[in-house]
Amino acid sequence: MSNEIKSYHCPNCMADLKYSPDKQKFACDFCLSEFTEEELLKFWNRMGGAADEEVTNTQTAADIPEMDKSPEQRQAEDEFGENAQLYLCPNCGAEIICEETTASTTCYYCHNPVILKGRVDGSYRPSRVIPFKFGRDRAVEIFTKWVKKKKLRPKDMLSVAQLSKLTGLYVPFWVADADTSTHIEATGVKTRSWTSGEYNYREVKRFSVVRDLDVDYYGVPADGSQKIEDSLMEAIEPFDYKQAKEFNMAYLSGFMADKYDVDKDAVLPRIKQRMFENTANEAFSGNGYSKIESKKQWDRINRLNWNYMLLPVWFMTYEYKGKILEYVINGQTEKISGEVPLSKSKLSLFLLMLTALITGGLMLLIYLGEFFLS
Amino acid sequence: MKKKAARILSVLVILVTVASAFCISVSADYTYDGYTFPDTGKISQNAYYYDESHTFSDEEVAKINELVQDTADRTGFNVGVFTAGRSRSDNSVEEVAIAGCKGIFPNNRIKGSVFFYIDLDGYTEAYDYIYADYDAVLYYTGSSFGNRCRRITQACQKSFPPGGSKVEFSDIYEGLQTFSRYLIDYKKETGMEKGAYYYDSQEKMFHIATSSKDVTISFLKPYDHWKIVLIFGLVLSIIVCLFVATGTVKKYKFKETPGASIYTSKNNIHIRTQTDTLISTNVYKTRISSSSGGGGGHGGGGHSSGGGGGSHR
Repeated sequence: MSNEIKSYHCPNCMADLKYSPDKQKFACDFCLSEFTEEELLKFWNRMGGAADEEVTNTQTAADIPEMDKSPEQRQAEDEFGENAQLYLCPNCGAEIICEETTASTTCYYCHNPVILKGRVDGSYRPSRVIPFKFGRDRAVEIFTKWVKKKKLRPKDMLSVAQLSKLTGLYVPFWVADADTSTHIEATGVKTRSWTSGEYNYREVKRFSVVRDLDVDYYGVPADGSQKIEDSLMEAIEPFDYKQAKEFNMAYLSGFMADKYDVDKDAVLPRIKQRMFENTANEAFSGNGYSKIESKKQWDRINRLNWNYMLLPVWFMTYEYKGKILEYVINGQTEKISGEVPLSKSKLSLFLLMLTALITGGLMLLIYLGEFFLS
Repeated sequence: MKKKAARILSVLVILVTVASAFCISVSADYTYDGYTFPDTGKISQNAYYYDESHTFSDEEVAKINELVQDTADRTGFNVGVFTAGRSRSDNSVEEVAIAGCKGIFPNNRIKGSVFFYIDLDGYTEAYDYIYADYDAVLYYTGSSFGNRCRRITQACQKSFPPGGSKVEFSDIYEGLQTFSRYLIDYKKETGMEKGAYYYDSQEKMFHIATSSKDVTISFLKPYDHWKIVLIFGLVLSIIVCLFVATGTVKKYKFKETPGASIYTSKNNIHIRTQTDTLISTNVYKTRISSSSGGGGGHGGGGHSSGGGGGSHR
């Protein structure tokens, strides 16, 4: 794997260049210049593709000869083991420690956005990317608004320290287009009830149901990262693939990004399950069956087409009573998902107040009733 | 001449007025809530006895009057006794006792009264009833610990003849002596029953016995009354809280994933075979259960303005 680190620099001042979701442009925080993707491409082409991007062939910790390693380097290597990787920031020379799957990150010291080119190259190169549609401020706003609806949340959930953990992350997704065929045999039950005279009648009719159907699915996603809960990612679907762009590493600048660590064969069962469960529902919808019994289903995928994409997600974790809870916001549609913990002390207080209110109200009602009726 | 006539006329008017007032005061009956108590002619400010069926001789009546008067004087309450000579329903009996307390004694509200209805109609099952009003309530009735009026009637009943049997003065007098003894003992020795209370509708306040000697006046009923409301409120709250807690926990749970229906459309679903063959039809018939409407419930008697009573058959 290549150990190249990429960081994009402003054509005007050579400062760091980041992708700004709010402006949908590449922006320089220093000279406040803004560039579209086309403008940057034109500039890079004119400069021969070298001046725009600083490509540094850096050494990973593993590449440094054993004898040249400092004790600190040896210690770090021991601690992080096989999964942690060490890179040198091309801007300030600091060591960047990241996980094996990290494709894009920022230098902890100079905040220079860096892209680990080898993680998004070759077989790891996504075909498409959906750029973030909104920035961090909007993400914080969405999260705050959503959490504020849950009045019985823990006190520190919206603290500045907690909100600062919200991170823009490009999550690797396997997106499947599939033409499927399904054969279903089942018993369908229809019931109807009526009353006549002194009797209630219930009629139960059983049908032998056979269905053969072809269903074409487009863009069924499954995240290729083990880090985030699958159900959480599915809850913020769908993404609008029409807004997906040809992959360009520059979009990752300023955001975190991961390469996949779950390959397409591993996510296929999950995708199949979702598709064929839906097919079964479609097969019986609108037929008036109140119950389906003894269902047997045979499924086949006739054609399967994979797309490896990076999809934008604002991600945050929150630790509550030793449990790590994850929150995700669709970086394109603003859909949010996660489980806000219920503060037991707040719930107890609320129920206590409710009890006092009901009991007090009842006493007042009785008192007033007696007072005015006497 | 004119002056003399006017003077005579005014003297006449005064005489007529005084005479009428005297006549009215002597022969006035006491009426309350439709019940009339005849002026027995022997009534004092705080004691009253009426022998409705004229069972007893004047001498016997005088003896009872003396006992009632003595009881009233020693307890400090107005005391009334009514030996009934005709049949009345239980409700009417209670109404007569209430009317006796409220109608006969003009200082009822200030002093408090006790009225004893003794059923001597001789035909039906006897129903005796004691009603206490105002401060007498604190000594003789209502609290959750018991009703002293009921204890008194039970004690008296040992002397009274059973319904339908011959009435002997000695039995009735003995019973009344018991009645008198109990009233005096509760007033002088035992004192008030803690928690007993009555409502003074004029001042709109509750008079509550906080101990055997102390009375507190409050706009709230005593704790015992609220205890029931409190328990009921708590039970109701627990039920409501259970629903609220379940709903809240559900609301905070993670929402499940949508299906894959968003990744296909009706145009992309092609049903090649669709057969539905009827296998069986079953019809189940159940008789509609006729739920008989229960008899109309009789509303519980509301607490009167501090009165209460005891009964014995």
